[in-house]
Amino acid sequence: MENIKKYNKIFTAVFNVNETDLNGDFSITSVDNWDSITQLTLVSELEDEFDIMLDTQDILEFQSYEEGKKIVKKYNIEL
Amino acid sequence: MLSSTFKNIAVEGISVALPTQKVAVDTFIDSFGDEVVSGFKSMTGVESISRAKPEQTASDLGYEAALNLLNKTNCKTDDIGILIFVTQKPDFRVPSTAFLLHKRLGLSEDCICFDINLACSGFVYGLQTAFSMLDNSKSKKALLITADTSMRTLSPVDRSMIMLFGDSGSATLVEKKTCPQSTRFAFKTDGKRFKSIVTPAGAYRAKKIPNKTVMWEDGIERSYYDTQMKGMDVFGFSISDVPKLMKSFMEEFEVTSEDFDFFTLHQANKYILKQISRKVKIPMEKIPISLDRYGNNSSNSIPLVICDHLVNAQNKTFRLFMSGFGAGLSWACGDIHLNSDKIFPIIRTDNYFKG
Repeated sequence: MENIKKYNKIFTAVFNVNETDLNGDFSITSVDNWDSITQLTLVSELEDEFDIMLDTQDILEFQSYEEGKKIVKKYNIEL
Repeated sequence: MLSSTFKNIAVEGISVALPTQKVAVDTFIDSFGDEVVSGFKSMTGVESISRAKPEQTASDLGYEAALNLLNKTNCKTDDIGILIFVTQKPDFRVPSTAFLLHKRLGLSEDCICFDINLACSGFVYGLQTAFSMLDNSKSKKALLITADTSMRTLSPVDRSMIMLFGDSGSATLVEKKTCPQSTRFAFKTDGKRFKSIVTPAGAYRAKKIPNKTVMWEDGIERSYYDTQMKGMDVFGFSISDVPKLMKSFMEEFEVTSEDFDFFTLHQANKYILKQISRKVKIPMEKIPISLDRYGNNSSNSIPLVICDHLVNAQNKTFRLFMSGFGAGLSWACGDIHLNSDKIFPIIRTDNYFKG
């Protein structure tokens, strides 16, 4: 599976949304159930999927679909 | 970092009491949905928690743990000169709940007793207080009781907390005795972040707030009498300030993770423990986990993980690195030696005080 597919699959599972919902507006401010539990679940699942470990600041700043892509790319994961 | 070292004082017994009621996290699927519950379980590692009966207070759980401890150690109550009760869920506003425990346990009039209002760092703080007071008094023994029923101030719709916290009590006997090893502690505090975990109403600062639920900025309905935790703030604290203190502690006392048999850490959640393991370079095999079956037990997490994992070794002395961290914000470390014969099996109880 392509990395972007894996990335999207984790988002759709954690937030219970369709892949078509994932866009530039998908963030902590627009998604009702984006809270500390879902944010940490998201990061934890991505770390396991891509075998990376995010720095504290990156975990705290992982607050949107697009920002998340930039953060994951910092760990040499091509999306 | 405030640190201290003690000689010739040791932990001579440790006991934990849990309520009988076990609640599987899956029972929350009806309230929060399958995705939320399965994500919660996967990230936190919590599968079930123990819940006190409505009549059962934190001190009832602490009392049962203490009774078990005194029986198992054949400790004479007259030898106990210090009783410390650590809780965030006292029986009364006045007096300290320690006085009820003093009465129920039949302790002497020459025993000092008081409460400490601390949460997840409370076991290490309570232990250091017991060591300090023994060091500076004629008392032979101190009894530290920690207990919480965190559930009492949680909103039933707070998906970030209601599935996480379990109820329990513990009792630890600290005693003057000749022993070769030192015991060390270290502490940090940041009052600027006191709102990170807060129950705003119910005491005397916000006396007239009506007890009705309102929508908080995290989208969860709570009353001001419910506890609120700013999850990401507390997470950031747990994986940055706490590992920093653990490393400073090891540097100051010139020890490494290899010097310890186990790291008995506050069971905040599995992901936080994984991050601490990575940052302090501790193999996960050295961090025993009990949160899968009992959740986060506030000040009892450390005694609970000790009694859960180290109880069956025969006459083996463990060197334990402890760390508790939470509301305050408050965080602490300890380096203690503990013989497995002083660790007692967890008991279950529904008993409560009917006086």
